[in-house]
Amino acid sequence: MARDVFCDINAAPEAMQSLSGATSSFFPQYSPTNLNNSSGPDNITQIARYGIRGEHFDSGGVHASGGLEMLFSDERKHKLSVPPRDNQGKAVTVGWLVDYLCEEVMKDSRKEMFVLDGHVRPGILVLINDADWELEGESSYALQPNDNILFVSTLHGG
Amino acid sequence: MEAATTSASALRAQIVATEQELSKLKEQLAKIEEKETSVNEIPVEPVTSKWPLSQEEYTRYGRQMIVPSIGIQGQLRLKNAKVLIIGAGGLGCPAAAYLAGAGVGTLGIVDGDTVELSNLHRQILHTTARVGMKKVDSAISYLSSLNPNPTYTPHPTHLTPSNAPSILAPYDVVLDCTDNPASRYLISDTCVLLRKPLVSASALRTEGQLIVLNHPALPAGNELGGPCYRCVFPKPPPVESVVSCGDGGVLGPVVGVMGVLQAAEAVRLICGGGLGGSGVEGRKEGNRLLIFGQNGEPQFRSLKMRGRRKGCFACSGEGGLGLESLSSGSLDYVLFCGLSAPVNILHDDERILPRDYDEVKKKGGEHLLVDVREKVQFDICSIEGSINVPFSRIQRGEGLGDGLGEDERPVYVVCRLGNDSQVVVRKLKDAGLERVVGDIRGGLRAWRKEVDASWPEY
Repeated sequence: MARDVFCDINAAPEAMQSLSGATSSFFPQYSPTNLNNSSGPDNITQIARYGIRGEHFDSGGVHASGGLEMLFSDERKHKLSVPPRDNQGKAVTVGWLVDYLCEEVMKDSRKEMFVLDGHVRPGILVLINDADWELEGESSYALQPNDNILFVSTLHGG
Repeated sequence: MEAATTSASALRAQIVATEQELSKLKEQLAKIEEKETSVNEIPVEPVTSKWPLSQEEYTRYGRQMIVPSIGIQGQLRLKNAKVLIIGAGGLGCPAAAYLAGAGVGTLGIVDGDTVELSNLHRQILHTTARVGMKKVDSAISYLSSLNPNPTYTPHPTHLTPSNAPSILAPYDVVLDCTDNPASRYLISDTCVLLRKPLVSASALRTEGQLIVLNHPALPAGNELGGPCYRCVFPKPPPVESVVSCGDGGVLGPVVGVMGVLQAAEAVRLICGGGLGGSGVEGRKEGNRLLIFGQNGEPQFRSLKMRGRRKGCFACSGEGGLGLESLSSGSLDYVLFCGLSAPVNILHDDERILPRDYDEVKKKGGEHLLVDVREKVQFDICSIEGSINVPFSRIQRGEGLGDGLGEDERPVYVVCRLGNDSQVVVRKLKDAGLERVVGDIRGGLRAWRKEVDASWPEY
């Protein structure tokens, strides 16, 4: 059944930033490895896990709720592993995560239901560790290990 | 049979009329009783008693009065409070019931709708016998029988920019129990202008959200005031992302929980004594958004929200919102939030009337009927021989699925109302699937009207 889509982000330590083989088109410097997910609660869908020099790191999780999970194959909770740096060597931010979710995780063709005109669409709140991302620097917030990112679509019914 | 139907409908009409008459009588009685009490009890100290409440009230409210956060002071504040509930639906019904029960002095209810059968699973003030009655009258009829003490004020209308200021003005606290973005912006703006704290909630399917806005209700421009709806949502969501309870469904207890929480917040605001906008209470606890998800982990999450937004159109004092611009109608909230126009993206020759499709079916022509409703709806009822390919699956670009995509039979597409089916036809044709003939105009609702009167309408 559908659940909150939340992102727990467990970013890798900075030391892990050197790169290995390229297979992912989106982040060619990281190669997905098929590792069994041994930690985390049930119902977490492992979306991607990237190994770097034989090491890997987990994300906490990404949650979507308020109907948003429908865009993510009806899964509310996504556990991700993210690289410590993007392909330009910059710290990986929530903005990066939004692009990543949109490009790599979201199967639905209605991308504009998540990202509109380059921004998270109106009506979606982004929460970083249960706080409005506007309190945390919005899209420029650099992901930290075990961060928990929640995307909530506002409801209007009553 | 026809005679029976006629007499049944006459009886129903009579029941409705009698119920209305009864609720009017009760209201008159309540008013007279209130006058009697107020005559006897002016000032707050009753002439006949040295106690501020009647014995009936001490007994009725005793269980909550001995709760330390309420006390006699809280009870008297409740009695003096005027609360407006906008929307007598899934949120407004439970909220109103608890506030009436708690002894709020004046309870206003705004709703322009009438009770429908499909409301009853969640709108707990209404009854089967009151289907067709105005919701405000039905609600007040229940509330007066629950607790005759409060003054109940019906506002049997939809809230508009021109009537909102005068409707809201007499009240101390407002509960937004409506179901669409346009009214949420309108209510929030009016609350900012009139300096009323706003308890806003919403629900859909198995989830709900609750936020207290504009508390403390300091004047626009004072950044210590609580954020308004526009601070949290400066831009309305795209129309196509807004899902109503009618389209998405909603669970009674879920929306009920949110309405009950609204009542709890209102009681807290009133008994806390911070309604004058003195400023402190709201800040101490911070601004929170509570989200509830029946299947969530955890089920409740309290999220920390921002304060007032600099440059906010409504509450920054520099955005240009004013009572005059509101009442003059120069702000069009419906336009602001967008109109959901019916989908009309197919040519006439790509659409087939239900009765014409029925002919195709009866002639036994080889074809495929694809029903694009979500599986949960398809399971409720489906046209014999149709196959289910949910809209969401097609949106994920998975096409018609294994075995169906390869075949040569002409394809017809149907959905509930005839909107999604058009989108799917266009999408499939654009993807080069030439065997797609078109959609069934008006969907299964039209199918029921034109072809199969037994079709279950849910």
